[in-house]
Amino acid sequence: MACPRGCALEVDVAEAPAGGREALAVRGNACKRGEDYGRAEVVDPRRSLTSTVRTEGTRRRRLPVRTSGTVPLGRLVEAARSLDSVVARPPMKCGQVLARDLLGLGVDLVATDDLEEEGAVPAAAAKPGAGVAKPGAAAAKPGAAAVKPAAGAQPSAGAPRRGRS
Amino acid sequence: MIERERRDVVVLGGGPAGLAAAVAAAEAGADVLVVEREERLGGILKQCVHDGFGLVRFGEQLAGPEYARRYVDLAEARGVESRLETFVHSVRREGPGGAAGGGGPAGAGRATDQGSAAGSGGAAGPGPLVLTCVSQDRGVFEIEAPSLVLATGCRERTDRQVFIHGERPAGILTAGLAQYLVNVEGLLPGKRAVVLGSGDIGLIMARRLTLEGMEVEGVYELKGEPSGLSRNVRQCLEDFGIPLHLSTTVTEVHGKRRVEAVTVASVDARGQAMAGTERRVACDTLVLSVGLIPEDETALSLGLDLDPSTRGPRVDQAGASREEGVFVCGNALHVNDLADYVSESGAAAGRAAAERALGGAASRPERRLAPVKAGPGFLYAVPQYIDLSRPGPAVLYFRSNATLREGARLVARALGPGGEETGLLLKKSYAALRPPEMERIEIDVASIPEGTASVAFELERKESLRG
Repeated sequence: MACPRGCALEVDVAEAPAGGREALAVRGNACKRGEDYGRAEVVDPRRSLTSTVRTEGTRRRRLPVRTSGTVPLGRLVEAARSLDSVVARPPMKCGQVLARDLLGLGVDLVATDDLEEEGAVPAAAAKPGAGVAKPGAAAAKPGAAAVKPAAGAQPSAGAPRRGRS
Repeated sequence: MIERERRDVVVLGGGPAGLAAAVAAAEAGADVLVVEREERLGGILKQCVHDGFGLVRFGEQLAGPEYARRYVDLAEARGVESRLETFVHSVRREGPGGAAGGGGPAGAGRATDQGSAAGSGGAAGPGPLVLTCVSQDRGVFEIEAPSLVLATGCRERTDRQVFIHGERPAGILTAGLAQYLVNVEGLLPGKRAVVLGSGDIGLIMARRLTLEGMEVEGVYELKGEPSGLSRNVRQCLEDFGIPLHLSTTVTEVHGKRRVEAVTVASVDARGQAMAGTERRVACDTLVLSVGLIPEDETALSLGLDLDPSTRGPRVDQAGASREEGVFVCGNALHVNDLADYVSESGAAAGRAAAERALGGAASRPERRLAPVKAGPGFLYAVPQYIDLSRPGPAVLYFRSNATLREGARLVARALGPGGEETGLLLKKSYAALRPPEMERIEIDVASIPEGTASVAFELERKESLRG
């Protein structure tokens, strides 16, 4: 389950002397990763959290984020809710930390995409309810192109607009 | 006069397939242009904020936007250029002399099973491909290239393609649209959702909507088993206590302006709703995850023949279609379950597209296409041809058409013109096969004997192996 292969695992479980559960043996796994996952799944299931956070100062409405490590499954929803107060402001690079030690769980919140300054618009337009961005609105923002836009693709004031001739 | 630019390779679509194709073509020395209709590169990965991407390609678990970012950075480093917010209106082939080729693809560009002269703009070969494009800043313009890579991805099936009675009020949306609204626009589509279909996007959206505060009443699947990957059933439904109702479907939608409820019913072995099993479920949102279909409008306009089992064009191991210079990759070819494989097929197509554009007719031997014949037990196998003139490993993907829990063995044989076996190419055992989980194999073209006319795939079930 740690990978798309999706091996069906069988895990022998025993009550641990100190309370809780203990994994004795894992079968059906194709690799070490599967064994680790099988053990963790019966003792202390953990998940990464992926979500998005609000943005300010850019035309993009959300920035995708994830936790730097896994959090206990039982606290996943709580962790997701805690993102409501996080706001991302450009410029921001993929991998940059937005919040440290989320809920004291020992994991950071990191951006999973760049947030470019070039896409910036007045803050008013980025407020919720400002409406879905029109495709045309972006044409005036050449910085939205991540890969170098081809020569001539960037609109400039003096460039003639070519249409059907 | 319409402005025209010339490139070695033009890639249609800037998602994981197109970017990989562009990177590979640029690495092979080609001048590459990516045409993308959206304002940012990355394709559907921009809205796939969940992780699980890149384990095969990069050896680590990445979120969709992170995976896309890796390829955007690679493309930038290789000097790939892009035209964003640009739509391709039409694609045509020009005659060798530069005259327009009568609107449709010229017959001269068509390869046959026996192979045909591969040319790139020479007097004898087919002329270049010309894309008529439209963008806000440039208006109408043309791009001319000897090689075109179609990386246009796939579309979702909608409520029009599944049989549901009742009203069509607001609140019915595809899983991909729900994903766009939540992950890109930051808007929740409703308060209480029913998900129809257990495809991966539906499962992932059940989790997303739950984490964002919606109640997901349940996921309903017509078939007797989930359509998505096992890990998604576990981590998207079971983790959150969302029930999965198998052999159950939505038969009717209720509500005048907004969805108020749906009727669900159990289905029999033929997928027909059974009388007396109907149940009314209150909800304000119906999310549809009922399948994906390759986007093949451009392919059809070029006259490419489609494989009815994949709904995408027929190609060889380099994504080369029967139309000279037209390559197809990623979800435009067949719907993949991993972005990693989408990129892999993109890279193969990009390399071959660059080779054709740069080398011209002289460097390429005649194509010798051996059809891949997938026997009973297969949903499909891709590619549909192996070009025996193209050296190196050929990567093939297949899906079984039923769940084989007891396992199965794949046997690939080379056959002569009369159907006689000329060589055993591959034997591979699988502990289990499921239709949602695509399998990948490699066959070394050098291992295929001379005189081979086709390659046959057979699936032997484990039960029959014992007997």
